[in-house]
Amino acid sequence: MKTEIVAMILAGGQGTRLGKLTRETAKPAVPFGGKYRIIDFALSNCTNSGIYNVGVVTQYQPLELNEHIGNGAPWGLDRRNLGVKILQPYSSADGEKWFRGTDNAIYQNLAYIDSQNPEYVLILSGDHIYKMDYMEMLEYHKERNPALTVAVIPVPMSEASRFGIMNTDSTMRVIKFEEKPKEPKNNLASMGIYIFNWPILRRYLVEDQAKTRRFEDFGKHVIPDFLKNGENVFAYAFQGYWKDVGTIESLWEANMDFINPKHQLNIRDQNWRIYTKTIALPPQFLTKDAKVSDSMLVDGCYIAGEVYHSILSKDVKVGKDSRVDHSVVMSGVTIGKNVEIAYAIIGENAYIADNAQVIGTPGSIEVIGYGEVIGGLKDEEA
Amino acid sequence: MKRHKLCAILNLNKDFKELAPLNNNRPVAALPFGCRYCIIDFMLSSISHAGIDSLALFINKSGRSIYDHIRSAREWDMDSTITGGVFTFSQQHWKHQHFLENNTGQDYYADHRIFLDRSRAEYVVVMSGEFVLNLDIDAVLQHHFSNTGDITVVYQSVPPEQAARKPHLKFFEIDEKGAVAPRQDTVTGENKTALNTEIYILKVDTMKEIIDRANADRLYMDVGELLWSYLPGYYANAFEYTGYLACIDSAASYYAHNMDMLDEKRFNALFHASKPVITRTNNGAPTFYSEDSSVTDAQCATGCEIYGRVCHSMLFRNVTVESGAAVTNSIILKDCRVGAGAQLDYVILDKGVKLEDGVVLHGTPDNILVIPKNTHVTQDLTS
Repeated sequence: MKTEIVAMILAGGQGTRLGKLTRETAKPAVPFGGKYRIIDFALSNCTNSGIYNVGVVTQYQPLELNEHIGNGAPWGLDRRNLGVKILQPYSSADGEKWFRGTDNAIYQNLAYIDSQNPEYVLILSGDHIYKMDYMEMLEYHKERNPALTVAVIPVPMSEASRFGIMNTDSTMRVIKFEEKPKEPKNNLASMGIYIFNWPILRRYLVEDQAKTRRFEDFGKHVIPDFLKNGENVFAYAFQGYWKDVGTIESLWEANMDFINPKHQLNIRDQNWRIYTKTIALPPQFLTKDAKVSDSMLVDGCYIAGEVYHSILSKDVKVGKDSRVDHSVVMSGVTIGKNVEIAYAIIGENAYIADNAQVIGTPGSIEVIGYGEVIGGLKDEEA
Repeated sequence: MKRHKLCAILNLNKDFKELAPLNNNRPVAALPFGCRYCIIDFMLSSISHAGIDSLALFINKSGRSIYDHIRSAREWDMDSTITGGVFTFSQQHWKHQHFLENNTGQDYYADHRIFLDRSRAEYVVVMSGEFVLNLDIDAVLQHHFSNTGDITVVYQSVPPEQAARKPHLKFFEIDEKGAVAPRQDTVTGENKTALNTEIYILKVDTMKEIIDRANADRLYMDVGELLWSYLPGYYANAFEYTGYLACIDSAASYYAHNMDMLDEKRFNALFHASKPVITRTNNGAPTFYSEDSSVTDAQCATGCEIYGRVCHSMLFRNVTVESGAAVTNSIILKDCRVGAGAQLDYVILDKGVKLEDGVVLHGTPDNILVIPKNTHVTQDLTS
């Protein structure tokens, strides 16, 4: 069966700069916005774009991610012949084959892509927050028919040196790719979203494997080789919200921005919904003492204290006389009585005992890891 | 537990005119409850947690709202490709009329019979769709096994002075052996009255025997009612359910029992005492509480945006309360919009009601103002 396009979501990264939050889980599985995980955005974009052939490449701490994706039903990716496939490293007669980079991960899953027999392969990263219609990008690609189209987003010139920058001509043809240039000539940053003509990419991958086995990463190896060999590479300019939540501060900030109901992502848009695996929980319960303002809550929350400018995920309990301020509280967290939390990210299932304090600052967000227990000794002694 | 031990028949046949206009075009069981659930969810969850995978639904009129909610019943684990499933039989009212008008002596209960046979279950649990409860059906089955009876009836003890003697509610007395006393007999001195929750467990063979007798007697009704009619001829055990129970039979009881959930003890009794209540999940965004909002003594589902004041009220999914609006003592079903400065007190807004800015809707504790589905309200109303 011939398939037009297969999406490959690269979800194997660790996200080391997220510290405690990715010690036991992959970055794409990190919770975001109260009820989502980061990978939900890429998966929902696939469904909403009408792409139902999705491979998710995992490697680092995949348990939670695999559990989250399951059979893909929450995203409608459990169709009769199509759907989501989790692709993990495997060993073979050639030995163990850990993925050595983004490109190597695709090479090692050649068999999966071949089985789908696609014309195009869409490469996505599982750790960005954005809404994008990949079909529009595919149309753009088909009109120009290059070997590769790279999605780019304009970034402020002052920040351009932090990104992979695509230098283009007036027709958006990519002339040169510069990874984190000291003196950027352009402000079009690669979003790590690629559409390849599969036969061409396949040829490159197979030839490299037969010769130098040099390819590991798209940005470092494949794109420069494509340009060197004169392959047509186009940039596709994306307009809209796009955020790489690679650090604690950026994760916190993106969550804080998300509270705004006028947020550019427009999470309430019924025409481009973000799906996630949900379990049915009782409604949010705000007691007579509750005070919640400029915040977002989801099901299963029980609030007897005060919540300001914060996001609380499912099943979070906030006890009496406690105050949560400018914080992100992940699911299953219990916050006792008379607790003060400010400028913090509280990991899933953490327990903040009565009278404890977790105080960070805007520049230095306090992070409590998954399942951590804070405080509680005083009460036991008493 | 061995599969196929139990199958379930859920009767959604009762209709109460005191529920109007909430029950226009939907059976009682399809009414929303507890901010995000449907009344049928409580039955379905109890059935699902008992490992039952064959369910027959008998619906009085159109089943549209029920089908829309249940779909493949995946959430309740009743969508196995191997066995079981949800089998629906709607328009029972027409079927009943047809049988009365053309009394042909055919098998009125043919659908029941086929369902019971194909479920390959040994026992059947029969339930009625107007009750909200969280029942451990396994425990009822164990009770049935450990007693020598033909039928086990689930009841709740209601002090006599609190027993609302509505004609459709069935009460019975319990004898000294814990069995259902024949209703005409004198009973033990226990100062209790047993409210029949209209949940019965019995052998499939016994159920078929009762169906045969009903056909012979030309008695055509839902099988829950049938069991009640033939109960005196059998030895019936009584199983006491001590959890939260509500019977939704009027707009007033719909209001009161929804509001019960604002009481933490009752809320916990229904949602956190036994197994979790399962429902179909939607992908609503988290609920937003604005800086100027004030929400106390309230429950909200996801997808809401709240800019105004909400007190002692329940907001279902995707409700918007604009700034300056005040919602007190009210229940707002999903997809409603409360315009800026609007005021609500003792009101139920059915799904999709839009209130213009500044309108004032006032009911009273004894006369709740109910606004029908999808109404666009442009002027003040009182009950």
